[in-house]
Amino acid sequence: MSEPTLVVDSLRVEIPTRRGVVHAVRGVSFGVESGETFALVGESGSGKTMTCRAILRLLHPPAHITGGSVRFQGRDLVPLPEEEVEQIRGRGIAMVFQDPMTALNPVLTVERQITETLADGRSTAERRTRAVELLRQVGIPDPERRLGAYPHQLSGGQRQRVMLAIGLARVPALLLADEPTTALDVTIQAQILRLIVALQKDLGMALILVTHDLGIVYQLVDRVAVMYAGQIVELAATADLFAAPRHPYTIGLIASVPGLDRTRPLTPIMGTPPDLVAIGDGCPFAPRCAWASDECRTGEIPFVQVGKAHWSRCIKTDQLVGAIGG
Amino acid sequence: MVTLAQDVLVAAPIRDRLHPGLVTGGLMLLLLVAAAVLAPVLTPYDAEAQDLDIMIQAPSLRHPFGTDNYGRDVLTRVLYGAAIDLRIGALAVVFPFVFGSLVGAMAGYYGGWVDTVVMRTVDVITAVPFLVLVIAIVAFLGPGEVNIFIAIGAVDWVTYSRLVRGEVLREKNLEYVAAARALGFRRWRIILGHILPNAVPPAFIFLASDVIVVILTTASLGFLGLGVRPPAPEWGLMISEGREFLSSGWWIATMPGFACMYAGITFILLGDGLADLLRVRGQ
Repeated sequence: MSEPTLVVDSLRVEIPTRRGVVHAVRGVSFGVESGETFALVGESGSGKTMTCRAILRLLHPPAHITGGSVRFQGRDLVPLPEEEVEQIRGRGIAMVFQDPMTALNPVLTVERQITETLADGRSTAERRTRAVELLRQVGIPDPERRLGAYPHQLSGGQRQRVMLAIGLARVPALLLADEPTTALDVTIQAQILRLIVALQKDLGMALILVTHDLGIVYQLVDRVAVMYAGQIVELAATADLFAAPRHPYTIGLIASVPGLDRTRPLTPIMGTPPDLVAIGDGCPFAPRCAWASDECRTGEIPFVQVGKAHWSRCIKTDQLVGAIGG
Repeated sequence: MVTLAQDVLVAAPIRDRLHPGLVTGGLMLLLLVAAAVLAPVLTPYDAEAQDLDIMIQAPSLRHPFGTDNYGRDVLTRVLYGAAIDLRIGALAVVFPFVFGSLVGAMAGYYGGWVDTVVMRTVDVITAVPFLVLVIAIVAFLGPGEVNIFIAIGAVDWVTYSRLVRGEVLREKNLEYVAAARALGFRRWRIILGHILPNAVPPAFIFLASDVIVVILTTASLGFLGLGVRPPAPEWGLMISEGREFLSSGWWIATMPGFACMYAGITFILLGDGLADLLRVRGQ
């Protein structure tokens, strides 16, 4: 049994600022198998995007990795020199960005942006054929004509499809999708996500989907990590997570998703996430947690196994059984 | 550079390219180039041969711009001069544009000590007025066209660096740069192929007006006797030589002055039109 495609172990990311060091990612560990759809869920500032960027070593300075490892196909990327990471980017691991409005270069044609990623040694005609094939794969109508288009001539959804085509161009083993539909119309968000997952399964890639759309997670994702204050607070197969969440934050998240029936009032999570500069001991969610007691506010909270392949960073998991769903 | 210009210009929709200022400037430039190229056909006179029988004659049908103190036809000299001034103007800005843009892009992209070294150098050069520094360098090297190129090249790149650096600072934090890095592209490829086409338009616009700055600088050098050597019909030199005769033959200095003005308006219209065009594209 070989190691999963990607293994992130005790990853830490810190951002030195004038106010002090922001502990953006605080010891995140998870693994993703090839062909698996994995989701990182959490609110803004919980460290999902930082984790994603750290995997590709694409953190914006002064943010930097201060500990842990990112093993991709058995090789730790953290200590690698930049040139070797460049070899892995795009070929081994590709990334689809949040906002296709800004993630495509405004002055280059679609063709140029796709063909530029294709390995050298192919003729212009071959690259062109491959570009058309990719555009067809991601569902762009009339791909031959679209090759000559500039990003501003495409709709948001089409742009995200082009981004996806660029990401898939060299058939990476792992695709990172950082909130790939946040910038899009609600009506096409699901469309694009379904496309991403369908292509991922087709090509046998591993996919890490960063999102805060629990509905999408529920429908499309195999396994979920819920992040809060730079840590994974719950990790489980999607079905288990929704059926029996074992962390108060997850319970809050699920309760705050609007239902279709409109009879159940929305239950927001009260309070705000902690300041990641002044973060200390104890459970960072304790100030907002209904179950919290004094013992939650001190010491390191262990990541405990609460079921088959189900972990929670909570000391009161027993009290949470049956709190929601079921 | 050609593909860069294509990237920058082709991205604009066709209708925006028919900007009235740009079209006017373009036609005026065409006329200027035609005058420079066709000078030998357009005029029967020689630009340098003297005819002391017809010194300082007022404009007439035979000599529409009059004649100078050596009896040379001023129109002929203005036409031939167009070739000299255009050539210097066009050639002298190439190095500053290319070098300045690259250095500015490097400073903006890498930041840190690279940025500090480049920008402090730029500050030092900017601290001395442009013309004074150019004059000082030419005075040191000696007059002549090549030395004008060297002096302008040494001083003029700083403006391009400033412009491009500022743009790169903004562009490098945009997602498409991160996206290009996520695809494993190397730094120089990202700088040249991805950031520069986005960062260079302001420098490109400045290029148009810079041509006229260089032409006027050349004229100023000519006026000071540091530029092109007489009897070449360089406009600045002609103005300088005609200055003594302002009371007896105002046209000797005024006509090449008008030529300078015409060239100035041409390039200002072009630069302005380009600016509008690229602003439209940017939105």
